[in-house]
Amino acid sequence: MSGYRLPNPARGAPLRFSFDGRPFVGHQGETLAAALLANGERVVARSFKYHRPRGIYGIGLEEPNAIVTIDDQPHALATRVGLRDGLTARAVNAWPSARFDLRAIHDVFGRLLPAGFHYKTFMGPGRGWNLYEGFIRRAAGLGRIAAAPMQWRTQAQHAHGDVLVVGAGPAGIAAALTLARAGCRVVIADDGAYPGGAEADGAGVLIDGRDADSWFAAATAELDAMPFVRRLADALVTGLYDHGFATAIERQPKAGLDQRLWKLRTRAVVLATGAIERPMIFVNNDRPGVMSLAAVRGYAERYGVACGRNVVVFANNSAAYADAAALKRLGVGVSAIVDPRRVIASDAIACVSALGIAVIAAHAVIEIAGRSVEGVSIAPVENLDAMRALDCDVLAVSGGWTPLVHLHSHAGGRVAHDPALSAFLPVADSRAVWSAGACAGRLGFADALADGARVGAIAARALGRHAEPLDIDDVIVRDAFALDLESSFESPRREPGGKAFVDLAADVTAEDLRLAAREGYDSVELMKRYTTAGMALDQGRHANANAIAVLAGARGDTPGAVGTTTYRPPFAPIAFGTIADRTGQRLVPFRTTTLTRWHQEARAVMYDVGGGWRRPGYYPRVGQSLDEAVAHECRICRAKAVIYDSSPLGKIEIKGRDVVTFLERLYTNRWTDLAPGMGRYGMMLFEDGRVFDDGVVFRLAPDHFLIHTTTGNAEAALQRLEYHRQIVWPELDLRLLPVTTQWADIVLCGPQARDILAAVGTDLDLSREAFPFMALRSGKVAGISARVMRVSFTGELSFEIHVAARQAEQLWLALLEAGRAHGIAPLGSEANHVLRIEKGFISVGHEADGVADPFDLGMKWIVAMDKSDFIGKRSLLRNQRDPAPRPQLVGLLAPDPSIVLPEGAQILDAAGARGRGYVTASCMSPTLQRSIALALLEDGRKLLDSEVRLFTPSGETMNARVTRPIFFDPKSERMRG
Amino acid sequence: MLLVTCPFCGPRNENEFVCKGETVTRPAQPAALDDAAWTAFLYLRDNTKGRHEEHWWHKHGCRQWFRAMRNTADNRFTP
Repeated sequence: MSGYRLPNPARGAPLRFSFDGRPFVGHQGETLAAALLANGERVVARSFKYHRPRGIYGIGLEEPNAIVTIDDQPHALATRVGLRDGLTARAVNAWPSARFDLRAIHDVFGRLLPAGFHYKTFMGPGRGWNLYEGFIRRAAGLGRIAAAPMQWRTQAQHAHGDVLVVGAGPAGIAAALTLARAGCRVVIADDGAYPGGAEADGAGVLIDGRDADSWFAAATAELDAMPFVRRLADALVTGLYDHGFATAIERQPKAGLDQRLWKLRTRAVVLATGAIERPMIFVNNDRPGVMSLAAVRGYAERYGVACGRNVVVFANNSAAYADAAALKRLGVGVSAIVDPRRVIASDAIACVSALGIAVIAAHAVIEIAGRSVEGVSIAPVENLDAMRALDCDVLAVSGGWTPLVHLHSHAGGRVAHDPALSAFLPVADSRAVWSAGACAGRLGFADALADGARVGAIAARALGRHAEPLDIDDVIVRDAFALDLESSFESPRREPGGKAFVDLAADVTAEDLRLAAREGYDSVELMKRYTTAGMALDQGRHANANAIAVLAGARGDTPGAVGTTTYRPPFAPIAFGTIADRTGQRLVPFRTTTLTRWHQEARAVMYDVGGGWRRPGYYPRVGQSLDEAVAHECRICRAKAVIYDSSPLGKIEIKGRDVVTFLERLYTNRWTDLAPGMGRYGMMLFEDGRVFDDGVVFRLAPDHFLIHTTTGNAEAALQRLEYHRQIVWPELDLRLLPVTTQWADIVLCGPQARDILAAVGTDLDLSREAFPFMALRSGKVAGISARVMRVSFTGELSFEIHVAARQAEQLWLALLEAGRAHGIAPLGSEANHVLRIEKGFISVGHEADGVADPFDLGMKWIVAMDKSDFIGKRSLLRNQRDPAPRPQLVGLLAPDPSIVLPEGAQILDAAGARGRGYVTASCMSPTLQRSIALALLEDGRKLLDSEVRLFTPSGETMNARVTRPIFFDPKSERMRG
Repeated sequence: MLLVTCPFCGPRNENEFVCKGETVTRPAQPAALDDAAWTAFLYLRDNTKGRHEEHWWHKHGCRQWFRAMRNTADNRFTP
C-alpha cells in the first residue's frame, strides 16, 4: 500500500530524477517529496540516533524526516526541493541507502541510548577517547560535504520600506493590500513561489463569489503594479533584529545566482507567518506512513498525489474534520477518524459522515505494529483491553496547530500560553511589530483574512496613514469548524517500553522527556539541552509544543508555567556561503598603497598587518628562504641603503591656537620647546598609565603640528584625539585633519642614503649642519614637492620623504634608479623588525604590550612628570608607589648564539613554578652574527648579567643571560650622522 | 544591526559608528583624587539595565561625537 498519482490532466512536463541511486519519473512543478510519494516510496530517510526507517511526514518547512543531499548540497529538505531534470538525491544518515541501512543496529540497542546517554558514557578510560571519537563522528552528523569546491553564487542586497510583511497567505496579502492602498511602501516576502499561503489555504473558499486562487492572483497583480511595493517570492525571512532590520534568503533569484541575501530595513513589521500542525504522541508514531493531515491534504490539493489508498485520521480537534472531508472529496480514500474526545461538534461529525467517513470517538491510536503503517491499533481511551486493529496504509495525524512565533520573539517579543489553542501566542508590545492570522492564533482562512486587514490598518495608522477597510463583503469557507482542541494528547500505553516520539528529527521520545524531569533537568532550557529535543535541523518546529506539554505533565504544571526556550535567528539554516563573500578577495577587507603593485611585481611576500594593510614582508630572490632574504636586506641596510614604504603609518595634522596645550595633555612629552621644523619622538598613554601609542611629532609652524601614529592605531588615535577635542576639552581652539592616505611616506635609509638623495636631485641642503637629526625640511625631491624628515626606525641614517600619494611610485622608481649604483634594495617588515630589535627600539604590540608603562620600558626621559596633568600621569604616580615588581625591558642572549629564543617564551621564577616575564621580540641578527632578544622581566634591571630559565611554547626549557636592551650602536651615532 | 541616529547625519547603520560606552566625565584634577576615586573613574560604571547614556562616534561619517540614550534591555534609543 503506498502513494500514487490522482488523475490530473494538468500536470507539468515529465522529469527524470534519481533517489539513492534508483531512477524515478516526476513532473515539473513538483517537489522531490511529492514525486517520491507519487512513486510509492515509503522509506526515504533514517532517523538521527536510532536509524529507524522514516517516511515523508510533512509538506514544507515543518518536515522533520526527509533530509537529503541534492547533487553536492547537503541538508536539503525533500519537501522544499523543486524537481528538475537530472536531479540526484541521496538520503543522509543512511548507508548504503535509506531502504537498507547498516546502522539500523542502533535501534536494536535503543534502550542503551536514551536521551542524555552521551553525558553518562565514554567517561573512561580517558585515552580511549581517540577511539570513541572516531565512532561517534562517523555515527553522528547528517550528509557529506563534497570533496570538490561547490559552485555557490550568491549576492547580498539591501531594501528599505515603511513596512515589511512576512508571509503572503490570506493574512499577509490582506495586510499588504491594506497598507499599500494606504500609500505605505511595502516589502512583502513569502517562502513560496507564489502567494496563497499553506498548500490547502483557500481550498473550498469563495471570496465575494470568486475562488481563492483567482482572488490571490488579482491581489498579487495589484501589488506588483504598485511602484512602491516590493514582492519577494521564494524568500524566507530568517531573522528579525532591532529597529526593523530583517534578513531573508531568496532562492534562485535569477539565472546564474543560487541565493540572494536580503537585508531589509523598515519602520514597521507585520508578521503573517502562519502555523504548523502538531503530531500526535503514541508508540511507534514515527513509522513511514504517519503523516501530518494538512500535508496529506496538501499533496492531494496542490500536486494531485494521494499518499495512500486507505487513510485513517487521528485527530483531537474539529478543524481536522474539514481537512478529512476535503481529502475525501479529492478522491483519496479516507475510512475513519479516530478522535480521543468524547464530545465532538455535531456539524463536524455530520460533514464527514455524509462522505462515508466513520467517526470513532473517545478512542486513540495506541501503537503501530510493524516497520511501516499497514494498520493501527486503536482502543477506547479508558479501556485498553478493548484494543483492536484498524486497516490503513496512511495515518494522518492532527494534534492541533502551533503558531510560528519565532520572528516575533527574535527581537525581544514575549509569548503567552493560550489554553484554548494549547499554543503560545505572541504578546503585543510597544514595538512596531504586529502579528496577524494563524501566527496570532486566528486559524482558518476567513479569520486570517480579516485579521490581516485589521492589523494592516493598525500598522498604517502607526505609520501616519489612513487605511480603508478591504473591499470584501463575504468570505464563504466550505467546512469551517472551530478548533475545539483537546490539549496536547498523548495516547495511553498498553505496556511500558516502546518509543513514542515527541521530536522526530532528534529522536527524542516522551519517556526521554520524563527521564530528564526525573533527573532534575526540568526547566525547559535544561530539558532541551539534556535531551536535545528541539536541537535538530528543524529546531523543534514540529516538536516543541508537544515537548513543553509533556514536560508540563511530568512537572504537574501548565505549559504556560513551563514556557518556551529563547528563539534566535536564523529561523531556518543559512549556508555560510550566502553570508560570506565567495570571491575570497573581500572576505577580509585589506588596504593597499600606491606602491603595492610594485611590491607584488617584485615578488614580495605580502603580509596582512595591523589596520588591514597589506604590506611587503620580505623580497626573496629566486631560491631564497625567509631567513636568507631577511639577512640580506638587513646587511644592505647597514652597509649600503634600503628603501621601504612606510605610508600606512597614521598621520594627523593638528592646527589651532591651543594645539600645544592639547598635545601636552595627550602626550607624555613636553612640546612647548619644540622648534618649528623639528620633530620629537612622542608617546601617548592610556588613562591607567599603559603605553597606548608612539610616533614622531613634528612642528610645522607655531600653531601647526603633524603627528605620526603606529599603523595599527591610526584610527584609534584619531578617535581619541577627536574625543578629547570635542567632549573633554571643547573649549580649546584646534582642528584635526587625518592625512594618513594623503601622503605617501617613502623611507630611504643606510650609510649611502645622503648620497642617493643628492643623486636623485633635490633642492635641500642635506649637510648634517643644515639638516640635523629629527629635522623636517620642505622642498623638491626628484622634482616632486616633498616634506623630508630625518627619522630613523632602523638606527641608520634615514630620510622619510612625504609626497602626495599619487606621486609615490614616481619617487620610488627615481630613488631606485639613483641608488642602483650604490647597491640600493627594498626592505620588508621582517628585516625592519630585526633592525629595530638590534637597536632596542620598542614596538607597540610587542614591548608596549598593553601592560607596561614608559618607566617599565626604561623611557623615563620621555615623561615630563612636571607637567600639571597629562593622560596617564595619575596612574604613573600610583605605579611608582606600587610595591609589586614591575615588568622591565631587558635584553636576552642565548648561550648558544645560533639558537633564536622563541617569542612568547615565559621567563620562570627561581622555583620554576611561575612566569615572571616573557620574550617580546627575538631574531637572528646578521649584524652581530648571533641571536638576540628583548624581553619584559619583573625587576629586570636588577638582574643584569644574571642567568634566567625560559619555558618555550613547545615545552622545552632553556637558559638565557639578561643584558641591556640594546645590541648595536648604543650611542646611536649612525642615525644622528 | 542597530539603527543609530547621528544628530548631524540622521539615522545610519550601527557599523558606521564606534560606541565608546557609558558616558563618563574626566576629572578636572586627577591628582586630587585618591586611589579609590581614580579607580572608579578608570573602571567602574553603572551599567544600568534600562536607560543607559552612551558616547557614540560617527567614525565613517561626520566624525562627530554625540550622546545617545539607549535602553540596554531592548536596544531602544530615546532622545
